Amino acid sequence: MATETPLEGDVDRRRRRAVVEKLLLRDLALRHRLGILGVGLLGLVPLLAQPRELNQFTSVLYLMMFAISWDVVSGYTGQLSFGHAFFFALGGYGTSVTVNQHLLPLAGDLGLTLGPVGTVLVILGGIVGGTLVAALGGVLIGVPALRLDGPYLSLVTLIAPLLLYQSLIIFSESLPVLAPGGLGGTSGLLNAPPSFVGIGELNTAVTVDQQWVGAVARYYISFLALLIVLAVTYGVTRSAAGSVFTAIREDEDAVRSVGMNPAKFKIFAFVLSAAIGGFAAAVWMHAGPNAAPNTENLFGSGRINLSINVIVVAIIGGMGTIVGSIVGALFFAFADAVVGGLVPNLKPLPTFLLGMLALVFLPRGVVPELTRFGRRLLAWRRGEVDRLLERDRSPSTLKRTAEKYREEIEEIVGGESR
Amino acid sequence: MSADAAGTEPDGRSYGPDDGILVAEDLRKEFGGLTAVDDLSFAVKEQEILGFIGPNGAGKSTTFNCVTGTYPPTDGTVYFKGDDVTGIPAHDMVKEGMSRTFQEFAPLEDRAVVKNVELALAPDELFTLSGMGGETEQLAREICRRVGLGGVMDQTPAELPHAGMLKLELARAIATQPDVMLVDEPFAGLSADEVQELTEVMESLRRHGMTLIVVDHNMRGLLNLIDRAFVIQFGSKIAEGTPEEIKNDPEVQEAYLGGEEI
Amino acid sequence: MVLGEILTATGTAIFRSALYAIIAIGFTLIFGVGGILNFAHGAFITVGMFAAFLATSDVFLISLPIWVGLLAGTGAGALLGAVTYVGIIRYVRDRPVTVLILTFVIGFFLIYGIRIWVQGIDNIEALSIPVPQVMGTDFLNNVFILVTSWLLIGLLFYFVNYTRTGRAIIAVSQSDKGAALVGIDAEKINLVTWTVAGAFAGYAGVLLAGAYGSGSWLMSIQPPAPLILSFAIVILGGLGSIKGSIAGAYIIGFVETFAVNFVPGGQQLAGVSSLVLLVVFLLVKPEGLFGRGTSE
Repeated sequence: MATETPLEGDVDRRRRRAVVEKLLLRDLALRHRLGILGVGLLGLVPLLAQPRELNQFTSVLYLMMFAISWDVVSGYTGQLSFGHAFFFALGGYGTSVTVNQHLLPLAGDLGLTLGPVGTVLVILGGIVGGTLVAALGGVLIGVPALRLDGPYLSLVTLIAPLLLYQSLIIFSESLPVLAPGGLGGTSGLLNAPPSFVGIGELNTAVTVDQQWVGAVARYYISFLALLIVLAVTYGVTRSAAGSVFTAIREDEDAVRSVGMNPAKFKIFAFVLSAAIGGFAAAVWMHAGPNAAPNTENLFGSGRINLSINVIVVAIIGGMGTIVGSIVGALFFAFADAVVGGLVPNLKPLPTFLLGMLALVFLPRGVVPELTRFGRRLLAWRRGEVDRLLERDRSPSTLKRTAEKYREEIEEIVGGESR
Repeated sequence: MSADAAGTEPDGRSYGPDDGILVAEDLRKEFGGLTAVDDLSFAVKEQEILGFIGPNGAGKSTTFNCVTGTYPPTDGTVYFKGDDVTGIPAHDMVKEGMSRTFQEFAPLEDRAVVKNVELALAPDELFTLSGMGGETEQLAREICRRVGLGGVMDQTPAELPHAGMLKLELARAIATQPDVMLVDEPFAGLSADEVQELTEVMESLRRHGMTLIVVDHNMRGLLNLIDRAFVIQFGSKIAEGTPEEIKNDPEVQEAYLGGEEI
Repeated sequence: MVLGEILTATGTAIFRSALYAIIAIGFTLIFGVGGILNFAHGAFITVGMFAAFLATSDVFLISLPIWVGLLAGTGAGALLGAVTYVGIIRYVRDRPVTVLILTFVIGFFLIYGIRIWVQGIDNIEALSIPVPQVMGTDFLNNVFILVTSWLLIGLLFYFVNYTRTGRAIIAVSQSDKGAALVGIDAEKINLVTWTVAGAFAGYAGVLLAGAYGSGSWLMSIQPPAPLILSFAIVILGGLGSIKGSIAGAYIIGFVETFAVNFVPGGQQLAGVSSLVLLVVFLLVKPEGLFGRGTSE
């Protein structure tokens, strides 16, 4: 080797020990501790809220997961997706079709009566199916995405959910082999798949006799899904691969010049993002409030609303930070609830307007701005005057991504500066 | 000595794969009607510091873009450590052991200098525990100190002076642990002290086993550093030898007539 | 008899393509001159439709004939184009990402605004806003569309090649600075372009809604998805090329008509072929058929 390295001793053993130490939460920065506190607080919500509010909170958990899904690919690698509902719909429909049109009939054919355990297993099978279908969708988008830049990529991501939507209509009666019962068209699949918990409707794994218990159970199941999503994304983004993702966003040539092939990472980002989104949507179909596999839920109103909302949520919270999506979703849901109370006819415009305003005044996003504010506060308290005075001159993630997008547009449009 | 346009070398040799750690044979690169590299051949000896000199537009960058995998040559062969590596893409060349710095350096602005170097140490794998134990950071810091960035490694590249950016480029290339490193126009815009500092760094690298190729368009900074030099013009080699021999070569002097200092 | 079917399909395709050409032209103009991808184009179309609805229905107590509706739609589109340019776009037209976001936001607000307004009207569904056809029968209506389509294209060609303002538009599309050097006011040209583009969009909206029976607040992305269609046509034809847009419109029109008529179960493919063609071109030949850059 041309250079000496300080890598002595058993490197692997040291790495394993480091991971364990991180898991045991030693030696964590303040903001990480705050983050864990925040997540812990989320876990305590059912103790504080009424059943109806609890249902609303549960919905917010899904918005968080969807926004995280978007952030993983668009915030981290800078491949902006404008139709992320594509993956959510694949996950939601994927699980419903897997359960209702494959697993349940299979159980029937085998003469099994499914008790609670059996139904849960079937549901889990559906979730796995939905996640896999969504991940496939990620490959479908991720591979062509390698050849497309900026607005062309955005166009393709915008069209994907529209095509999927049309396919739902085209194959509403039946899709050979994959969905013999059809995909339900615009009104969605008629039979919702079984839920984990319910109060005595048919079609649940576990029946409880009180609304409130059901609502709490649903919340915790959704919360568990959020924890899984957080664990996975945290593991990926805090590893060396995570810094490669952000490097790709900044400058792909730089990544190549240090011996890495960006293509691999870019596709992986799409697949991971799709899998997370599909997983969240799949769990929603079995655990969420208003869980029904239809286009209003999985695409949002107007076929695009959900895709737009996750973008707004992730950017407001802070692009390229996982925690940002959580905070952004809380803000968004709060604003939506307040607005919904005041001027219900005007939905979704006022919330959207608030979102735009937030982008203008807090371009870095809530979490990064809070982090900066926190640092300055600490510096002030410690009397580190020079740290207070130093200004963070580096542009925000949003700004840098917009700059790169602008370069890509100019390359396509061509011509001289106007 | 005069060069023949069609590929025989001034000393009449042609090169084979084992003539050096890096060998180029009859390298040719055409862009549309323009021939940028015209049947160029050379061999780089292991652990030497070789200078690659030529006026602007002579084809130096094109030659090395072909050799390092930025784009494939139109014709000709590149041998690295005895193997044919013609046309292998840049990121794979880096894995083979050949790295380069870039004239138009573009460091990652969103992270500190040391993090820039850490990226270069990251493995090309999706799932890895690398970085978790902290050795990567340690190694990156070591490299930063080695090139003279010890005091600024926690700043962002935007805060670095020109010389610092150059050192960062060097650090990133070193981090990929190459056997051969190509340094592209390193002395542009540096003061005499900075030139000296950089020269010492590169000699230290050579002592640790690296082969270096330094590309530049004027010899001012190179003379003290290089063992040997090739001079090219219009895509062909016009001279080869020690710095003394090059300086006294009539064709070289003519090529630089009225232009750069030698 | 297969020949008969082919002839009928060709006829339908010609009609459809003519409509698509009108839909895309406004988009091409704004792109060719300002290099701006106007995401609000679909909204302009929807507003044109809505203006015609307001004129021809009895929402304002008087129900006017469809000719007035057509004028109202075109006028509304023109006004909207002008206001959008003067009020917003001219301050940011050198920042393509900002423009993209802004035109998207404007479009978003416009179509949701229409939806909210319609929700306040009794008996009308936001997804099915009735707009009458210009002519009495389907066939005559199609002929009307065909004739006006080519008339407008012809006028546009004349305008762009033989009038001062028109040639100025070409000059500005190539270079603001170069145009300024010969005394052309880029601001004025952009304003004219946006107004004309808006007018085309409004006109297209009325015709489109009439031909399909009704409009809807979502008509920009519901089949035939004129917003996406415009992107598809412009990319197929080559960004900024008017000639290319017409070619693109006809290619997509023909592909769609033949797919619907001759592919088994093809009815449901309506509106999808433009999406698919767009994706194919993006992947294979993103610069389109007639290259890129300036309008002709």
